[in-house]
Amino acid sequence: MEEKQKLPKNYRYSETHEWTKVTTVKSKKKNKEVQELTATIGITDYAVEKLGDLVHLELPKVGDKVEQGNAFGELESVKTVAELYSLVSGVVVEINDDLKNNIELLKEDPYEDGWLIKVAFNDVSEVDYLMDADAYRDYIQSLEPHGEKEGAEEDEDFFM
Amino acid sequence: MHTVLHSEHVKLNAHIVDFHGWNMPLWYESIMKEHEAVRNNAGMFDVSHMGRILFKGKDSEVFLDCVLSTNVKKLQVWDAKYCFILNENGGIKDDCILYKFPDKYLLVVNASNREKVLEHFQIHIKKFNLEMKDVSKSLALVAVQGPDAEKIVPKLTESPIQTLKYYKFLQGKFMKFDALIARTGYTGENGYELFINSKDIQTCWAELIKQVQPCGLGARDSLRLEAGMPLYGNELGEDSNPLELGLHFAVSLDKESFIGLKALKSRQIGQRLTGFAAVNQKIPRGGNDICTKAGKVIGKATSGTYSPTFERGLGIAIIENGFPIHESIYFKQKEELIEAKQVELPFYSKTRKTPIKREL
Repeated sequence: MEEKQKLPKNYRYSETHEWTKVTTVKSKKKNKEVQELTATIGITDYAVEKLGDLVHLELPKVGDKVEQGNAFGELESVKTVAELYSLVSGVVVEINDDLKNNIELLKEDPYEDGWLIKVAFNDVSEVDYLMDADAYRDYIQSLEPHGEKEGAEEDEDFFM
Repeated sequence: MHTVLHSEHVKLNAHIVDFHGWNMPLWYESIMKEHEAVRNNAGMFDVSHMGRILFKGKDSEVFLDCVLSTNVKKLQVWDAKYCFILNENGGIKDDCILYKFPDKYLLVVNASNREKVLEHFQIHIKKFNLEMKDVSKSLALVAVQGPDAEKIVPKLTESPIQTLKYYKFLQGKFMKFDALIARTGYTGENGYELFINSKDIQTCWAELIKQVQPCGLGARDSLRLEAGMPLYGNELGEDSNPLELGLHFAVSLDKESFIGLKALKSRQIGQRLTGFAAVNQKIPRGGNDICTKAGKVIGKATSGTYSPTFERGLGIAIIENGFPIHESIYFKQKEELIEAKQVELPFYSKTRKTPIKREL
């Protein structure tokens, strides 16, 4: 069994299985100190594993507006298509071009090299609603099927 | 619910999903890998979740003739026959395979419909003299499919299964265990379906897994779609008209009567089933509207998937009967119309006299 990826502690997670890492850059504008917030958004290894064989990824363009809770792209597998939801509202400042030729990066390194987009945003409270690593771990455990253990065995012999 | 092989699936670290109340493997490692194993080598599926119902006694034949769409009286012993259980309106209650023994019948129905079908039979069985028994739990079912299945399975039995024709079965031994070995399947490949007592199946699975790739429901779905085989809940439902779906071979219209026949004969044919292939990398999905180039809705996609064999998106759709066969259709995803070419079903089949693999 493959070693499960560790959920980075300083990331935040959504019920739709995206993660975000917020970075703050302080800069001076017109002599006033301002904070510029960037959210790097990706999807969790749990989601990638659930999707199975990945075949197609669609991402927005740099400069596109995204809104918290709205889809910014699609990740398609053999079996199904998953919408990718933005965790913040803002403007796309960078997309991960490496994924174009290597969608497998999402599997190999979902929390670093497999990031999807970077979004410049203003309202830091948007990420406060998201789960931390521990809460997300509990959440995905609750999603696993745990049907009753009804024994299928019956000793009866069909051929008698 | 769990099948008798559930612990084996867990051991193999299968990706398990809830399928109509059954915890079943969707894939073990990869749908793509499992799909290709069946097309090129051999794959096996635990399908013990399917319903198996046994009919025994004097009126078995007349009863089944009354509730099934096929002419049961015409079947030979050791024949398997694909047919429908129709409702009073001529719609499809379930699709099923009937196996005729010298002294009894076995009916394999969908897991999702087992209880509904049993209830339906209970209502109609009253005036007949026979015994009906749900043997789903005591009898396990494993399908071994693909070109190498024809080398592997015969080595594990002394029964003459190599000469067995498509949709025939026999009763014999698999390894040292009593077994029904049927030349049936749901993949478009040749292969076998093995019915073995639940208490013996683990030993058989352990032997088979040395040579055969275990496959989940994901590959089962992509394989059956390429093979143009309908799936209940997608192509088939209580409102479906089997004659619109081109499934005439499973309906004996010349039978004097069976439940749904009269209603079926009076139904209009307004739609038809078609396969289609996306012209770009988009993948159609069940439920997508099917439109003309101008955007007029002419039907619905019933199934859609990425096809590992053809390396593109394939689908099955029910569309207006009058729409020309050679014109492109367009499946709709989020207001976008995506062009697709109509393709005669099946896309792929090795079980036909002349094997089929369409040029897309």
